Amino acid sequence: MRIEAIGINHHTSPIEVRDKGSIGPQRIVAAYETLLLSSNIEGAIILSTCNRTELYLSPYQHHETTRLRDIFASLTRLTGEEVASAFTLRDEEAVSHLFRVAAGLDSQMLGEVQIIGQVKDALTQAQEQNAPNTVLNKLFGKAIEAGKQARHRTQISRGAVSVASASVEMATRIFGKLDEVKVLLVGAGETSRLAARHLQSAGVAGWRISNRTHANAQVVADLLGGMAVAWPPSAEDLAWADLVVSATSADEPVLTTRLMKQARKQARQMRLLLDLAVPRDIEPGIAKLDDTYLYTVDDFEELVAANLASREKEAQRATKLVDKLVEEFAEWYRENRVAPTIQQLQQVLEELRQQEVARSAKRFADSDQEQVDKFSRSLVRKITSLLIANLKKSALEEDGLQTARALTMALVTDDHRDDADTVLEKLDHELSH
Amino acid sequence: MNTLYVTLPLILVAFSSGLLAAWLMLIARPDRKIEEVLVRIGTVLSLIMIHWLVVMAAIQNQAPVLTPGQVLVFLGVQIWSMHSLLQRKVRQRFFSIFPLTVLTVMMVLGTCLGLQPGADVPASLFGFRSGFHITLSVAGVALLLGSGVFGTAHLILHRQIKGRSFGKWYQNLPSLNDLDRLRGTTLGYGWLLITISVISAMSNLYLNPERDAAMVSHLHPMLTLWFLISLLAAADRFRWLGNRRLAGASLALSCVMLLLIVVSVVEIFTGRFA
Repeated sequence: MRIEAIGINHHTSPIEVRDKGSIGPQRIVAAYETLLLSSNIEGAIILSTCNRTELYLSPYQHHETTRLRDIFASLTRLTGEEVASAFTLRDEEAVSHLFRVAAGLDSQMLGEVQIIGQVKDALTQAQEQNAPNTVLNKLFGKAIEAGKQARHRTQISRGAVSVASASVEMATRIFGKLDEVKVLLVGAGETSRLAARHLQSAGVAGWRISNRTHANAQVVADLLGGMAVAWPPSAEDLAWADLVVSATSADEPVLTTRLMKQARKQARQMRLLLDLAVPRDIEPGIAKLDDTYLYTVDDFEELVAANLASREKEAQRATKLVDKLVEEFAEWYRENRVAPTIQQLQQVLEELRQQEVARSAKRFADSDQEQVDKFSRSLVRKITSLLIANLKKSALEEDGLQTARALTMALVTDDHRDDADTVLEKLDHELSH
Repeated sequence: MNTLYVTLPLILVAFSSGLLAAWLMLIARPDRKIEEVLVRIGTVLSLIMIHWLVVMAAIQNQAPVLTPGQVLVFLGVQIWSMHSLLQRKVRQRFFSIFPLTVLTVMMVLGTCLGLQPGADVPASLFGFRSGFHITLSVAGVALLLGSGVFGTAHLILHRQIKGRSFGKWYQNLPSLNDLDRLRGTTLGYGWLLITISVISAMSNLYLNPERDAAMVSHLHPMLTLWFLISLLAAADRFRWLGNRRLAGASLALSCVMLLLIVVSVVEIFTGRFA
C-alpha cells in the first residue's frame, strides 16, 4: 500500500500552532497546485478543520519523513520546529487514522458529528481540483462510510456533552419536539444568552424575557424575536411558559414555590426549570411539585459525565467497525493493483471477439447474426469473469502480482504491445514494494 | 384446519419470540439501522397476524372469540397492531418491548389453551351482535391496556428524570410529552370503542331480553368499568389531573380492567356470569 498522512491536531500541537497551520479556503487551491506539481504525488487530499490540518497523499514512492514534513511546512507556513510535532503515518496506519477521524474517535469531543461533513467537504474540494486519484477517492469514500456506520450502528454521538446542549437534551426528553415549547428567560446575561442560542437553534415556539434592567431584556427579546416582560416574572409569565431558564446574579431566589403554585393554578402542564445561576435563582422546593422538573448546573454536569461515559463505552464498538473497514479497504487496495491487467484483459478479449464475429459473418444467415453476437459476448463474459475472479483472489496473496504479470505477458498482441508494456511497468512498480 | 389453528400460530409464536429476542439484544447493543429493520419486520408481523385472524373469522363465521385462547390471541394481536400503527407516528424505540412481550405471552397462552373451537362453545358467543360487541370490547380493551402501558412508561421516565438517573431507559424511551399524547389518544379511542360496545350490549338486551338475560349480570361490572373509563377520559380531556397522576390513573385502570376481563372471560367460558 502507498498512502501517507501527515498532520497536526489537538494531540500533537497547541491551539496557536493549529490556528497557524490551518489551510483556509483562500489558500486551498494554491496548496493543491503546489502538491500536484510534485512528480512523486499521484493524488492528494487536504483535511483542514478548526482543530486539525491533515494531508493525505498517494505517492508513487514513499517520501522520507523529513521530505514529508517539508511538503507539509510549505503548505501550512509552519516553521520546522512546529512541523516537527506533526504526526506522520503510512499505509494501514494512515487509513486507520482517517477512519477514526471520520468516526469521531479522534475528536477532542469524542463522537462529535461535524467531522463527517468536514471529511466530505475535503473530498469535494479536492475533486474540484482533480487532486485525488482512485485510491484516495476510495479511501475518503470508505472514511465517510466509517463515519456513518459509527453514528448509526453505535451510540458514540448520543447525548449532550456540554451544559448548554445538555439543557436542550433534557428539554427534548420532556417535551419531544421543541417547536411548541414556550420559553421564559429570566436574566439577560451571557449564560442566559448562551442557553437561549442553543434553544433557538432547536426551534422553540416563543420567548419571554424578564431582566432587572428592562432595556437589556428588550435587546435580548429583539434578538430572539420574543417579548420583554416585567421584573420579576409574574405568575402569569410562568403559567405561559413550558420551559424556564434562569441565570441571574440575584442573591435571593427569583422564582419561589409560592409563585410556581400560583402559576400551576392558572395552567397545569409539564414544566422544565433550568437554574443556571450560582447562587440559585429557583427555590429547590419547586422540584417537589407535580410535573415540574428542576435542573441545576450540577445536575447537568452529572448528565454530561454520564453521556461521556456512555460514549467511551460505545467507542469500543466503533473501533471494531473501523478496524473492519480498514481491512476491507486493504483488501480492495490489493485487488486494485491488478486493475490495469483486468482492463487489458477485457480490451484484448473484446477485440478478438469482434474480429472473430466479423470473420464468421459470411458463414451465417442474416437472421442468425444476432444470435452469434449474443453467444460470443456470453462466452467472452464468462471467460473474463473467471479470469478476473481468480486474478483478484491471487492479488490478495503475497506474490499474487506474479500471476497478473504472467497474464499480462500472455495477452500481448501486436496492436497493444505498448499498452502491455505500460501495464507491466505498473505491475513491476507495485512488485518493487 | 390444523394449519390455521395449530401450525400457523406456532410459527407466529416463534416469529414474535425471535423478534422479542432481537429487540432485547438491541438494548445491549443499540443500532439504529437494525432498529429500523426490526420496526419494519414488526409491521409485517402485525399484518400477517391480522390476515390470519381475518381468515379465522371467515372460516368460523365469527370473530376470533370462540375460545379463551382465541380471545387472548385476538387481544395480543390488537395490542401489537396498535403499537405498529403508532410507531409510524412516534418513534418508540425500546418501548416496543412492552407490547411485543404482551403479544408473545398472549400467543403462547392462547396456543396452549387451544384455538380450535369445540362443541362446547357457549351459544351466546355466536351471531353478528355478539361478534360486534365482543370485537369492539377487545379492541377497546387493547387500546386501554396500551394507555396503561404508556402511563407506566411515563412514570418510569418521570422517576428517571426526577432521580437524575440517566440510564438506557432515560435515553431510549419516547419523551414524556409523546408518552402523554399516546396515553391520551389510546385512552380517548379506547373509551369510544368501549362506549359503542356497551351501547350495543344494552341494545342487544333491549331487543332480546329473554335470550340474553344472563348477560345482565355481566353488564353490571362492565358498566362500572365504563363509568371509571369515562371519568378518566374526562379528567384527561379537561386536565383535572396533572400528567403524572393521569399516567398513574391509566395504569391503575388497566390493572382493574385486566382483572375484570379475566374474570369475565372465565365466567363466559364456564357458563356462569358475574
